[in-house]
Amino acid sequence: MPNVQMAIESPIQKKTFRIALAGNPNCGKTTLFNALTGLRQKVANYPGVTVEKKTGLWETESSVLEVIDLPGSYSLISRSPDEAMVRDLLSGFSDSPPDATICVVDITNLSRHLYLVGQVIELGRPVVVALTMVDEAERLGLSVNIPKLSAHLGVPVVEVLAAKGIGLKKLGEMMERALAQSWAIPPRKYQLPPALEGRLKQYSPQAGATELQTLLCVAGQHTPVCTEKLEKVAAKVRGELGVNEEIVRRFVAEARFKWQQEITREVVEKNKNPKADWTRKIDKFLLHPALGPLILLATLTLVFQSIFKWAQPPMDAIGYVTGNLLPSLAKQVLTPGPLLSLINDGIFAGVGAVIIFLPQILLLFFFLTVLEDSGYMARAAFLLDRLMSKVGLSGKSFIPLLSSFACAIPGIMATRTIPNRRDRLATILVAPLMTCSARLVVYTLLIAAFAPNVKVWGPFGLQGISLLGLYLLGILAAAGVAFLFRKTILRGPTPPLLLELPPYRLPRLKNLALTLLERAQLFLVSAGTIIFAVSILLWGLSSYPRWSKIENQFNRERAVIVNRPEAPQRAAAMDKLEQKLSAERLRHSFAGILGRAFEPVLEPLGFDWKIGVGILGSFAAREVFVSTMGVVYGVGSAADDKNLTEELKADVNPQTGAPVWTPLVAITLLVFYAFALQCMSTIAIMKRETNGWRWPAFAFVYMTVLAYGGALLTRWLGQAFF
Amino acid sequence: MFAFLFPAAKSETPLQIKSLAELEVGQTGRVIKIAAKEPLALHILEIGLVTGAQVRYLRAAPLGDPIQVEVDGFLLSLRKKEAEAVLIETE
Repeated sequence: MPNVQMAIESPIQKKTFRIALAGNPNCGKTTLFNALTGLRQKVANYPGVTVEKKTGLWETESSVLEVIDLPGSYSLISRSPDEAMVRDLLSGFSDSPPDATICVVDITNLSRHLYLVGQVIELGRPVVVALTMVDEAERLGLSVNIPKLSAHLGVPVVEVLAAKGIGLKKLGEMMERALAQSWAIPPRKYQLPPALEGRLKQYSPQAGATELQTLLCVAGQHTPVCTEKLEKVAAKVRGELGVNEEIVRRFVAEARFKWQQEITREVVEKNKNPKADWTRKIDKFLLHPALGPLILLATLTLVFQSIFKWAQPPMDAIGYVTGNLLPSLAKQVLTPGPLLSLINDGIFAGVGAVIIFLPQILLLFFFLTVLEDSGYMARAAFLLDRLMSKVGLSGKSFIPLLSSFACAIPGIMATRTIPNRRDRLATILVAPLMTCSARLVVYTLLIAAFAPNVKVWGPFGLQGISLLGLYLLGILAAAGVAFLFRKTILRGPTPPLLLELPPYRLPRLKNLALTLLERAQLFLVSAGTIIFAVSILLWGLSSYPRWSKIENQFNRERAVIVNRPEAPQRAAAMDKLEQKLSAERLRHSFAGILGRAFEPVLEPLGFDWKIGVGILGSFAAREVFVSTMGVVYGVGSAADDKNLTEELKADVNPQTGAPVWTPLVAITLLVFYAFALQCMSTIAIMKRETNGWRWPAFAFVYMTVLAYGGALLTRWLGQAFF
Repeated sequence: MFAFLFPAAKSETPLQIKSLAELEVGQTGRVIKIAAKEPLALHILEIGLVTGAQVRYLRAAPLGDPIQVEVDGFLLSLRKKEAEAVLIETE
């Protein structure tokens, strides 16, 4: 008898492949990617380019496929950084090319979307077409003859309904089959002008190339097949025809579109009456000359209100954990000393100051994703393009700048949708001028301390107007700087706006959840590592060196207090002493020494060394200013603002006896904060998004110059007129 | 007063050539030529505004620019400057 055990299959080692997911913008590619890979996704940056590489694992019957999600793109002839990346990856310039490609095609836009498919097929590696939006097509009364379409294209075609998981198994089978067989490029079906056609036939054999390869080189689509020899032949063909690459590309594009329209006519059947088309009806309201802008304004107000309001409870919770819970736990576990101080005053205080913004960032991305996926974002760009083009930006810069009011980090991340490089850079450079929520903390402290709480007109008080003025200052500066940059260092023709307005769709919960998860991860990892390091550095700078002279003196005073009899007053006196000690330590620490070294630079602005320390500390994050002031003025870092404002007002210059903090000093400092790029996280994200230190360094320099100049001017005007 | 009794003989309105920017709200037509320089012409073409495409002018943005058009069933927004290069045979 044969051994029964033998019948049990040993697990087969699955083969692994790399496949790419390509398609036009809004074709449903993300939904398909999420359906195929689920939580097995990761995001990394491409080396040398500014675009993120999103990959995920998809397990089919007998293979494991690493799926690369490419950004939406209309053509392999690149225009935006996204499109260049797609071309380079698919044709194998930047990396080894993927083993196969899934071309995602929106069935309701079949003819247009076949353009990219045709280009990808000609690259010579296996292609499977996934038709999406099947449900939408059904609603519109459209159906596609799949076998016919597949025959025309010469590649397998599968209908999928990714959100419901329909067709995915079949897609996997098709992919496996395509990967297993030897692959030949289906013959070219579109007709070129006879003169060109004839020369391709004539010259290709000489160069040892196929007609298609010759054509690609004649059109100047420099794929790896274009050898030097072939380039020469291509130049000869162009010369004989008296055309350049651009004209050939246009011939090809026109020929392709003609063919696409023909086969679309043949394979698409329009059945019954289409159901109501919501998009056109909704546009009537959302793009209405009067209602449109009002609805946009209302939407934005709602988004901002929600970001500030809804984020508060989780922010308080994080603040409680990093500010109270964890430090007190650490105090119970560790004995007082440098280690405890490092953990509490350095790590928890520093990292906590940053991750407290996570709820705001997630909420912002929640709204951004909903606006984007629903199709409204493109409408906002449409409504505002004219306004933005006045300062040399386009409608596509609006959302990134808007996001920067919460935080410049998501704002800068959102610039990836801007196709033009100069536009995108100009937007990245001015985004940190928008008043972010961290500035708000500093503004609130200084305004509360130095702007009298008086009514100006109706319900508007001087404090509120001051705050509004600071917001306007940021907007005006951003507009001016963008205008200036687009006229100088980022000079160039205004890029055309050709913006597809996708149909309105309900955002998919799964896409939303995965986006938020990914954003949280990116924020915590990339900003968290830098902040972590800087926090430790700042803590070290402000805690050391310890001078034995100071320590000894305080030890003596401490001993005097300990020996006092009455308990309640003793505790209060002890607290006060500790606060004095930390202020004194700071004064003589590296940070204090550094702050005093900066005094000559800050003196023209009317700032003393204490403000200098605050400004230096702010380079980790602006809100650090408040806690640093707290330490400097010896009221403890957890002090409430009211005590701090009192302390600020009472501070006098030891030599002249004049108050350090005049209203003018406060205003000057506010102007400084409005313009200065004091945010490590912003600099880090700029480096990541522009792939180098050049632009963040430039932004830092120009904003510092602007801040110093603006502050100097403010002080000068203030002294001249008041 | 009785004009309604004598409707003007529906004259064969001659086909007119206009740029996409000059169409009136709701007016339809077919693209006959993209009179733009490269690389803009290819860009316009690749997004789907091709010769023979059926277009309908929907509206201009509240500030007058850009405009929204329907092209073979999809919605496109472009500035008047670019739309001027797209020649339309109106119906």
